Amino acid sequence: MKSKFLHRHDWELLLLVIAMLVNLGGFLTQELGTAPREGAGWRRVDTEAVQRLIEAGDLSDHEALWYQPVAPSGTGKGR
Amino acid sequence: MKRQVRCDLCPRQCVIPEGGAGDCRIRVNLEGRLRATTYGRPSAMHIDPVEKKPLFHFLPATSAFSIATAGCNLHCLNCQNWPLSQRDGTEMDRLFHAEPADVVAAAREEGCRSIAYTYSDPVVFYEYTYDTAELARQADLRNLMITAGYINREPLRRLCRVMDATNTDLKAFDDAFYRKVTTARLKPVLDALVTFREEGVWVEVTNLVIPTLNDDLAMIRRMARWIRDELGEGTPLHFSRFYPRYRMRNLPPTPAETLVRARKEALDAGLQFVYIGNVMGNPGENTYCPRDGTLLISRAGFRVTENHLTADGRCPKCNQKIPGVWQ
Ligand SMILES: [Zn+2]
Repeated sequence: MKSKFLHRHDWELLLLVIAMLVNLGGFLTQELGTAPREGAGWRRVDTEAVQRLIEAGDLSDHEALWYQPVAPSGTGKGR
Repeated sequence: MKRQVRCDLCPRQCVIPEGGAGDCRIRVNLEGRLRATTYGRPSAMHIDPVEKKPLFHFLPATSAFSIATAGCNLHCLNCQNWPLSQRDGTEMDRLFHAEPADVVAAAREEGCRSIAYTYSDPVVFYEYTYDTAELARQADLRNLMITAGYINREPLRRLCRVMDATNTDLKAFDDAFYRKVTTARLKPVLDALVTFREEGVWVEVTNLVIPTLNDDLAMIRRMARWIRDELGEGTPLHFSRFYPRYRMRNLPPTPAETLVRARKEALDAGLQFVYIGNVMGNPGENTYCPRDGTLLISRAGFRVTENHLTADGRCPKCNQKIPGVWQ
């Protein structure tokens, strides 16, 4: 008679399916993340590399014009 | 505590957390302060004929010292300069050290009449552009802003104080095109064009015609009428040829015939100076007197082969004043 519990290989298969779905979901949201976003869009950069290049003089820490501090809400999502 | 900032330079108005960059990739929030990381660190420096910008009614046959840094606030699928514009400062093979004074000195040394802020988009390297342009003015050099015009009104107004001419891309007269192909919007670009005109900057417009995407003649007619009404009938319009590039390699180059039809449509709509770029040997490269059709300036590619304008920019036959900056 068949057990009502899943066998070990069934669990493995289920985990594989879940992993694939998570992967697919991640891929899809990543694609959505590159779609145009207005208002809160920003990008991740390699901040350590930026700092290193600034220290080496290859990039600049010149302060930008036209910006202001804002309260930490509604950050949006990095991409 | 994470100190985030909002950049008010362009219509995106990115809210940038500490350690992040704006959508342009080069304006970086370090410890709560926004840094223009490519200030004085261009990745492209060339001497170009001003006709290459293209500017056809601005000091013809002179050279423009042309600079650009990494980054851009548009992300056009067909970008011609994507290795520069779609990367940040840390991804550049070359970062020249050229503070504003160095650029001005080099431009003078090379005998250039102007400095062009170009290739990627000077909007995102705003501070570098502004400071260089201010110094250039003092050194009797003109300033050219080659841009997609995606910038907020107040920053642009201030920049116009030191700008002499612009060639602004009007990529299509269609907001859906802007959203899909460039990730930007149409309205701010139209506003920027009007601001340039209001502030007395010499304006020429470029429209890159892409087969099937923005080659509809009815749309081209609407665009030409808008330019005529808002910027003036004497505003030069350049139709430029598309070549498959970057993420848009599935479409063919624009047939010359399409550009010829676009030019006719814009002339019929009342624009006086409509040019065709990237097609060698076409009469659409030349400037003709809008009153009597006299050939005024003949061009081959970016080279001026004949110039019959009077010193003060008039038709030698009928004395018609030709709009532009001629000396
Ligand atoms: Zn004439």
